[in-house]
Amino acid sequence: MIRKTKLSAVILGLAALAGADFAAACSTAQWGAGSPPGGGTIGATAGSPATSNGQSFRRYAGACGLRAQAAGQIVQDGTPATAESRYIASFYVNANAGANTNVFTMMADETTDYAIVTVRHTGTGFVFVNRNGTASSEITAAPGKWYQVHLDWSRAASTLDVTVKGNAGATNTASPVQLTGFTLADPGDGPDYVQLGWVSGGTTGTVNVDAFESRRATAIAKLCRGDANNSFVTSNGTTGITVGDAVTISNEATTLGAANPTYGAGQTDCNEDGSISVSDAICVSNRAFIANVCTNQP
Amino acid sequence: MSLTKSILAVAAALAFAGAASAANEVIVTGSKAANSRVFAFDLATDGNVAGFEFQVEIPQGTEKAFNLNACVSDLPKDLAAKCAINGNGRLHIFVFSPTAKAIPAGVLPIGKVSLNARGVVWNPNVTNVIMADTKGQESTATVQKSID
Repeated sequence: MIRKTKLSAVILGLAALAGADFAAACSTAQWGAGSPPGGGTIGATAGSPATSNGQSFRRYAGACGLRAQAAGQIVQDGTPATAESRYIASFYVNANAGANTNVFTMMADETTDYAIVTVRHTGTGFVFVNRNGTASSEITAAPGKWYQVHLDWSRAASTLDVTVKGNAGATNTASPVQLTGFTLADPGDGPDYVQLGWVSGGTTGTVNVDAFESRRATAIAKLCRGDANNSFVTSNGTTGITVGDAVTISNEATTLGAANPTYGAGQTDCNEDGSISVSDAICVSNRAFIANVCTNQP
Repeated sequence: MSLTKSILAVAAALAFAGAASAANEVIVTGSKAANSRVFAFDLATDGNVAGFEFQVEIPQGTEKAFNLNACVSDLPKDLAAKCAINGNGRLHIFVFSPTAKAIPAGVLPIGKVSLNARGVVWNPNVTNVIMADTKGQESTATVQKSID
């Protein structure tokens, strides 16, 4: 589980402990900055995949991810300040919890708190809901697959630019979709904290989230799928996807279920299907043949 | 494997085995003569390689003149392999162990390619050589060419 925020010029990440039991090393302790109501973690737990079939924890990057198995299991970040004029966030979500599962809210901390922005997985895609409950058109997103959701909220324009990319390129909004009507109840309000996980709604299942990052400016690029060893640029500086990534994935897939699985440090789930297997190594072998793949087809 | 290639491969293996510090090497053998443009690829390994890849520059406009049917056909069946012209217009060979096991030390025959383009002289230049150990850590390797 990676949580990073640049809103307060702080970048935090889970320390990788080489050779350690990653399941035990995973933590949500980095959440809760800015003292959001209720604290940093409510019910959700972080962990590493124990098996290759995706039935345990899932993560997009690094060794750890956050899993919520019921509505209300979330992590919270209170670093946004009320007067933020712009709020940019990126996170990865793998939702399979039934219809209308809310996975992210950008909250105004008022007498009665309200969501300025809600990201909802309908079961077949993502919609973006404003404070009045008006939902956008749906962007297709299959359940059980990984997607990057990127948000860019503007106070002045009351707009929300969204991009969704994932499921091995099956969904890829080439340019941000600009949504309108993301207003505040009072001009003095603003984003005070955000919630990530299984916020509300849904029925049964699991919501997995990972690699949250927020900023005041500059879009947040998608992590390159298949860059399993996190080398990105290799010693010869040619491409981010190499045979080293394929072996990293093979190594992880064959050690999952063992006492100390060997997790890749980067994005091992190349096909973004929520499980790690040799199919991800083959995905890497295909992507290695694409020119500038991490730039053109992240 | 041709006799010439066999001799070269054995010589490479002996040289490899006798090296003070083991290293990995891509070995290219063949001919650049216009009427015989068949090239074979082997890999001399130190026993710590679980995957490798390299690219080969090819003459511009000759992509469709290559026969790649035997490009990785000499490899053991327990290795996953792909050989194709990549997005950068280079011949690209990509091989890895799906179980992340090391390839035994020695000379590993990979396969051969042929170029059927009249009047084109090809002196294959191997680039972007990457070796991966059983943990996925990357390193490079040397290239030995024996082109007559």
